[in-house]
Amino acid sequence: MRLPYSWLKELSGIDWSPEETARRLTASGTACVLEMPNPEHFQNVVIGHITKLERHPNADRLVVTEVNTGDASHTVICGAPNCAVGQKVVLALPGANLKGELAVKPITMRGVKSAGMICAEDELGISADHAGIMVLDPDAPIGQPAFEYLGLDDPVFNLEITPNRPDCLSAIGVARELAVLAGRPYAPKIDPLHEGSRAASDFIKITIADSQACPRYAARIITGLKIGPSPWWIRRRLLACGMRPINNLVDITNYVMLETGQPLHGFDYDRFGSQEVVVRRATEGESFTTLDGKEHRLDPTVLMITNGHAGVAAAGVMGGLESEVADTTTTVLLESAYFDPGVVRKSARRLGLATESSYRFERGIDPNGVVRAADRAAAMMVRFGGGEVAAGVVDNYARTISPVKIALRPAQVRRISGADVAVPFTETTLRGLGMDVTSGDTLSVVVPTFRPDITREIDLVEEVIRVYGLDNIPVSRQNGGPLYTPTHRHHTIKTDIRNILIGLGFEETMGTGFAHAERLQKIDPGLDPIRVTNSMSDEFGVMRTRLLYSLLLSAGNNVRHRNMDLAIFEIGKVYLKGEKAPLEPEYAGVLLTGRPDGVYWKGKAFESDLFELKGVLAALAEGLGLEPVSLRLEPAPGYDPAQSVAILCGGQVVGHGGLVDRRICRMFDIKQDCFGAELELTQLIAPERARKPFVSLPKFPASTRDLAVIVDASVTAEAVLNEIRAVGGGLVEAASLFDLFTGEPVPAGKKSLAFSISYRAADKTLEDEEVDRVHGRIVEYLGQKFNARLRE
Amino acid sequence: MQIILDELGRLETDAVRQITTAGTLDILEELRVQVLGKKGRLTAILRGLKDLTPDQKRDIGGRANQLKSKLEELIVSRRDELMGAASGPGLIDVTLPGRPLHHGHRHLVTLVMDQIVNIFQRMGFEIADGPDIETDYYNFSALNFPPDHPARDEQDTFYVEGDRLLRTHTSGVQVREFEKRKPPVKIIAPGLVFRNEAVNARAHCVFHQVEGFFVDTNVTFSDLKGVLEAFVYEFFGSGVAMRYRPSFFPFTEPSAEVDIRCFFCGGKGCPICKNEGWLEILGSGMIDPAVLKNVGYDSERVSGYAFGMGVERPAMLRYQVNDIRLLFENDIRFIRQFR
Repeated sequence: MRLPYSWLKELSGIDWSPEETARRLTASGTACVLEMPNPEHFQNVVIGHITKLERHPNADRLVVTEVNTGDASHTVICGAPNCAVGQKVVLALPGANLKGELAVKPITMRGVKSAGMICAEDELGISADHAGIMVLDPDAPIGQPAFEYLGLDDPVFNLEITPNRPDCLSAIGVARELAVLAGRPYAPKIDPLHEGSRAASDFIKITIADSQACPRYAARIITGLKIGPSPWWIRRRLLACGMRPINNLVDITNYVMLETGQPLHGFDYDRFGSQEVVVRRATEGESFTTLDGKEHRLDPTVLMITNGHAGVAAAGVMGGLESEVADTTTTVLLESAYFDPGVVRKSARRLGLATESSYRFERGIDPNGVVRAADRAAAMMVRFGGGEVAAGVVDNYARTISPVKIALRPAQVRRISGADVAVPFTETTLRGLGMDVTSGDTLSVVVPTFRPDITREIDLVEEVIRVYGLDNIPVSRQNGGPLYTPTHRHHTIKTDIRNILIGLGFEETMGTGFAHAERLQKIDPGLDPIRVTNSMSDEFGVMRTRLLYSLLLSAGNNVRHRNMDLAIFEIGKVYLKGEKAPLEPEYAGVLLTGRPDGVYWKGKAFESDLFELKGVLAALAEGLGLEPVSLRLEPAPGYDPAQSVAILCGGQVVGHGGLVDRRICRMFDIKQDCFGAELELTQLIAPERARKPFVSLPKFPASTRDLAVIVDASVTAEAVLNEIRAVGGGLVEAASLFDLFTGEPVPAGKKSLAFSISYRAADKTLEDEEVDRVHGRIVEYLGQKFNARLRE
Repeated sequence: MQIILDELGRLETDAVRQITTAGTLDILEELRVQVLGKKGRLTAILRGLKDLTPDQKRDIGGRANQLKSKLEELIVSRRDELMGAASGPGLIDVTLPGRPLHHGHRHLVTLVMDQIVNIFQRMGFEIADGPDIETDYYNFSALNFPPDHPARDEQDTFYVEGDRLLRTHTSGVQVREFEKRKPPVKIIAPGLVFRNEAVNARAHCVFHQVEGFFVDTNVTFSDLKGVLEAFVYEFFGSGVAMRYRPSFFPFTEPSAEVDIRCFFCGGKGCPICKNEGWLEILGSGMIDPAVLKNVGYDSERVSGYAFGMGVERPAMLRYQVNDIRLLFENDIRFIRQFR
């Protein structure tokens, strides 16, 4: 909400500077940004009087005017359709730099010289209006700088009002805050209202069919009105508050809303259609055209103001087209009502409308300020619309809303804040906020109905503390609470995984948790993801069921930018449908593509492949204290069946991975092979084992023998290694594959495997003969079991 | 006996001369094999010792072993000389790249989130987390958001099938943890949150928050200020000016937004702080008695504070990242900039 400084100063009586005012408001909970005017944009911009007007000799659409600025007369060309002799206008003379972007210079247009420019509102930065030049009130003083006259030197506060403070959606509400902060009494002055002789009740009666939705509906009748423009000061304030002036009657309803917070609506009485206001729920399928010209099909969620037959307004949201105040209006039926906040909220949502009116009703206006606002508007209509107010308010207060009474123990202020707030300060503050306070050990506080947010003792405590100032509360530097709180492995393991993978050169990526349904379906065809029901974009259509989705998305983003060599990982949740509640297991996923290690002049760079991936997984498992990793060919969705694996640690499946299905990669714009793995986090938590005592280092030397055998291509390296270990008994300390060879001279369908075997005994130095014997036995057994023969 | 001693003498003279003048490593290795190898001259002498008397064994054996050590040393030192000459200064190009090993990078969000969480862990906060897919109860109702209240509008919500929503803040963890525990409860809860907003440079529909809360007897706003001051001093720098602005959150009363002095302009006003001189960093307050009541705590006996902060915002501020989308695009050239 926007409010000009002059208005708040006038209502509150404060004498703080705009800056100080903004600071105080912010520090007490009314966050605001001060917008200072820029006088430089109005240099050489003055009020002028059009004394003469002629057609431009060489241009149909232009006129040549004489504009008197008191000390001089200027010949000015104007193209606005509304330009006329006798008008007071805003004249920008050479040297002016409007809005800091439009420098005014003398120019010649089709042979006639123009000494300046008559301004429209948009050129001055007052509004977006460019329909014609701005025409000022007839009494505007010729020659005065426009900056002063137009009140553009008035700073404006842009206020951020929290949803609990409907009272501050008004100049009076904010002024009350300022008065409390300044320790001043606050009493807005009320203009007297002179009523005519004819009773308003002769014009209208009010029937409320739903008093839950409409506890109160009041109306005043103003007759003999004449539509015209509002005086400049009203228009100026509306513009400063960001509202568009329309005409005197509409402007007054808006002005009073901005001043009091009470939304008002003026109906053209002669076009109202009856002499009775009936407030009721819309019927199913009822049709209604709002004053913005849109037709709505209604249902009973919408509360309607009707004339007994047809709707004339959607209560609290927007009036109807047919009974709107028009240029011909002379009698106004002025509505001032209190509608239930929840009802207006639902109505507005149903209609797809959000208006200044609905915004205030949704947050809760003052049910007991309804008549005061109507009186204020009626008085202004008399003054600025030439009308007469019918006697009396027609006020149907169907469901009385009374002030709340709350007991406040002053010690609670200290208990919550930790500050020594004196009881008199508490009392003064609450009184300043409009509350009725009875002193005692426990204060008895009556809360006015313009503060619907205050219903409990804690709410009063909050009021006192915020006015006292949160910055004034002392800072406690004691560490309260437990000295020790435990850490949990399912949290610390994430840090461990990150440390290991980062150490291995992986970059951490972060996905959004969302997925595109169709793309995800290609990765995980069997799984039905959790759908987002109100997403604006397909990209956020479902929740991801696989980390692979996010990894491929990240990889695709990189490959598109020619970052072709990637080693990335992500730790995060996937979302699955569950029995009672959704399941959110956490995964760690890795993805390799290209040659992440780059090239090396000493040898050829490794292309990402299944064994690069396996090496990473092995290192990760080792780092996490898990059993060694093994892979088992096993189809997993999203991976190429030829190279799709289950990942095992000590026989336990901890995840799946492999070569990502190439069709899926292409869907993410990746045209090179990607190797991925997805590991479930809980599976990576090493079981809590009793601490094993350390193993002594060997005392006796080892003896190493190499062994190369030729076996059928189908024999796995692991099977051979297992056999070597089994046959070697306790003497084989370590055995590792150091070469794999196929092709000449190895026969087709065969492969050569070369192992390095280390023999060692714990209790003695092995004799060569002993090693030879065991080694020979291994060769023999490999021959029997795998039909292996020694390669010479 | 004397013959053997003479042989040793000749061997010494020859070998020392040949070793010290050997011109290449290959020649030196040949010499080594000739003298000390399995079939070498000295080896042969040592083998012959077994036919001698114990006294002779001691005498000649001692001399032969002395000579063996001497020659071995000479060979090693001649080898060092020859190798030094082959790899002398200027012969190796030290600008050749080393083996391509890489150290990866934490994601910027992890980096900052870990920092935040670690600071609070040092103050005795325990880490907890809650589900991303929440019920209305934990995300709103239990946190004192009335049904159909405009306060709900401030947090545009994603709804998912099954009558649930994507949490709009980490505050629901408060309720879940309170339900499981008895005071004192002192927890820090980092996590992902969602807002149904259009994605642009300044806002994303996904971001991270860290929620902290403490409930015990006699917890006051003053204690909250202490904890937040400690955090701000550690995270943003000791002595950074702070201010508390009363605000509104349904689940705290009183509520406060916390700002720090803009560390780009020192408070003079700049585009980053939008000329305000302050940067908003977190929301906080005293836990509303209605929330305590919802979890069965007696608000007359215990009180507590809660605070919540975004992670992306301070991360972006710190490194002047001007587009939040960069954080979720995961371009490695971006990720590699943070350490």
